[in-house]
Amino acid sequence: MRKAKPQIGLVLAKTPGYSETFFNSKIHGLMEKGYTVKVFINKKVYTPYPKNWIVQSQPQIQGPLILLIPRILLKILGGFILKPKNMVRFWRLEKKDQVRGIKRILHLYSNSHILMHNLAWLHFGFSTMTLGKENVAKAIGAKMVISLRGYDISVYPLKHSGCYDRLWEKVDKVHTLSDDLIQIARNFGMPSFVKWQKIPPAICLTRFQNDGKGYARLYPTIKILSVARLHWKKGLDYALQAIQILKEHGYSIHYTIIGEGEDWEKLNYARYQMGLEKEISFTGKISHTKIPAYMHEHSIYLQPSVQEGFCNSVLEAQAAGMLCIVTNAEGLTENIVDEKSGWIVPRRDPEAIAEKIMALRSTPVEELTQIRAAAIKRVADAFSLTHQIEKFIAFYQTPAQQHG
Amino acid sequence: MRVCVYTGKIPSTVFIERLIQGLTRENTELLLVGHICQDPIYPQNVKVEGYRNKTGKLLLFLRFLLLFMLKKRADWKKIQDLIQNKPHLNTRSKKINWYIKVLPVIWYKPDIFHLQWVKNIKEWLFLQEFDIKVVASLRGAHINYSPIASAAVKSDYMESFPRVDGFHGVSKSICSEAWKYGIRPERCKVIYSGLDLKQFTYQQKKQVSGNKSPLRLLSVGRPHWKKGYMYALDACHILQSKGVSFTYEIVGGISEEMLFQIHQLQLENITIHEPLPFHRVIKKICQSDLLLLPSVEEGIANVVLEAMALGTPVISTYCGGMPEVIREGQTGWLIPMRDPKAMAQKIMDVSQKPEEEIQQITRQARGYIEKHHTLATMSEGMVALYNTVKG
Repeated sequence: MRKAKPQIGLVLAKTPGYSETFFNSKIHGLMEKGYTVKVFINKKVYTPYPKNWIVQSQPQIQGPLILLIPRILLKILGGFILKPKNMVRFWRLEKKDQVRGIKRILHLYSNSHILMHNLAWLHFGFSTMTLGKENVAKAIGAKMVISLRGYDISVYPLKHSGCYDRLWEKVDKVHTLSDDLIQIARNFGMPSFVKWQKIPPAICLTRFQNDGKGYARLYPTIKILSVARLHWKKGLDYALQAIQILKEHGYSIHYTIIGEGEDWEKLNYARYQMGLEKEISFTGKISHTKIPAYMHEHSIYLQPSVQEGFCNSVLEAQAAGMLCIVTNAEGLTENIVDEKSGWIVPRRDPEAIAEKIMALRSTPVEELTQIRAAAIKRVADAFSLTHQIEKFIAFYQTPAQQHG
Repeated sequence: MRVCVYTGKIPSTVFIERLIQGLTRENTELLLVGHICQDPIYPQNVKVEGYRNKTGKLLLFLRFLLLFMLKKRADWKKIQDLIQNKPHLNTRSKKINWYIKVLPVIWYKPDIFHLQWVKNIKEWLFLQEFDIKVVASLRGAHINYSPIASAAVKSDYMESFPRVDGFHGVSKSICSEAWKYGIRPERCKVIYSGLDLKQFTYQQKKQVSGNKSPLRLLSVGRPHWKKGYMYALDACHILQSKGVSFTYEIVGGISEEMLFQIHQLQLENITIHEPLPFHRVIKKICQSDLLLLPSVEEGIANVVLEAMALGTPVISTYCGGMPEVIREGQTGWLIPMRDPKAMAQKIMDVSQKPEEEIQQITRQARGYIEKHHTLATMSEGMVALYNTVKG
């Protein structure tokens, strides 16, 4: 008889949206290979998901006390009846960690949706998802895995000092998108003995391929594109300044920014003050299915981030045959091989961005064609969905770090 | 003359309270309406009609409802007709909130209703039907970027501005910005903010940069993007890499972006303070060698006026109305917006200037404030505007 494949639990904030290729492809891929994947989400906000997915949402601590208290008690009682071992183990582990009183009861309640399952692996999609859930994996007899993501590991611990101290004691294995993220996690307390494995993101190549339509030219207008949430970490301020420098040098340029976000007012005002209304367009949010067409209409893709985990859009732009300029923000340095599959410039440096764009204008077409081809090949070789799934399967088959 | 100074909050921001303080000395009767956040201390010629909580709100509404029913039935009927044309007031609570705002104003019928935040101008123009003249102040963000960010705000301004009886602009720059929305220039008067100079004693700086001690830089303001702290922190990175010995204090709090930037650039000697009380801010300004204003949007920053009055030299970006008070090399120094290199270079240049030159500049800055930014010049200017509007 064939041995049953281990069950994997994936803890996320919400069911992944259509554009979140990383989780979608991972879940689909694992299921196709015969793994049972259960998705646990923190909020009851469902993005539509396929019918064959098993999705459980976290019990919410909200509503009037008179209704909430009986709900909590019933849920906990139910847990003790259905999975007494898991519940008792979790209770004891929390007690050992000196989680006191009501907080321990609330943790028991809000984690009950996971405690009802026995899994081989419990994989937290973001490190912040583990807060208050540090003991859940051990309680259900699963190995605990976290994925390091840009914001969660680079910014969140700055605001909440020591927030991952409990996590580092419990985690069995760490998945990272880039080497830089591991270094940052170490700076925020990840012990050197914790096992980790790098599995970079992957994209669906065929969706972005430019099927012989020809690439957008750098003449007469240099058409530049960024796909980015309008958020400070994307460094779009610096990109706007670079466009201003190019304009001052007399270049005909157009810069399109696809995305929406809290920094719209700031960026829109900067565009107005710099007199770049003709040169810069904000499209707002655009359906992911329309992004390839934008990529084929523009010649340069710019990722001016000051903080970045890895960035799928840069992979997509490379697959679409765009000339990619990125900053040296964390994972971007592994996304692009400088001078081979694109160009890396220092972060927070508008002049460096502008100079690079000007340099591309005077680069021979043959050289640019070589770079495009190298980028397409590298993405196909190293960042395909098939490779990613194979790596994840190997990831779950490798033994994890054992804790006493 | 009776004037209603409206912000919706009592007391309001420091600069609006200064305006109120100035106007009370000009024999004007003032009416303040809105939410009382702290117990206000005003002279006798200031009438306060406000509420502290929900009960107070309801009582205020009931009192004015009764007064109108008993004594001003005609006005009450007019108000009822008006409310028919306000489809957005479609629930009882929205209507009551509106009544609470407008009934005290209509009851006291001031000669002038002076709206401090122009964004809501469309809501208040109906007062003209009660023979109340409407004056609006043009301040910072409400003119500089709100109508650029929002087409609805722009459309409201285009529709309302030509009907407003008078405008007060905090700087020449802001008035010219507002002309785009149909203001008639003759209805707009520049009246600079005023300081009570008794609170700001000029202290001559001995040295900007001590050879032994680090250069002390200071910025004051909330961590909002318009304050441009990201450029100041980039400038600090340049200074640090050039080996300049300095400290940089920011009073007003920290954003996630700033926190990350300080960490990423490994900036040393940066201290962030949460907002401090007025007297402590004054002390910080006095203790600093240079006040830095890295903003990308300002009317005229009050903290710059305060630093100039106190004798602390100022480096400011060339933004909004700042060049109207900071004259390059005369009352301070100007740098381009969003230019950390220029900012760092200017800081280094100023730190090398001889003591006499610094003292001359701070004296000139103080002189400028004494001439253009006193409570008296502000309140006289405002009364003159009210008189013109009143006709």
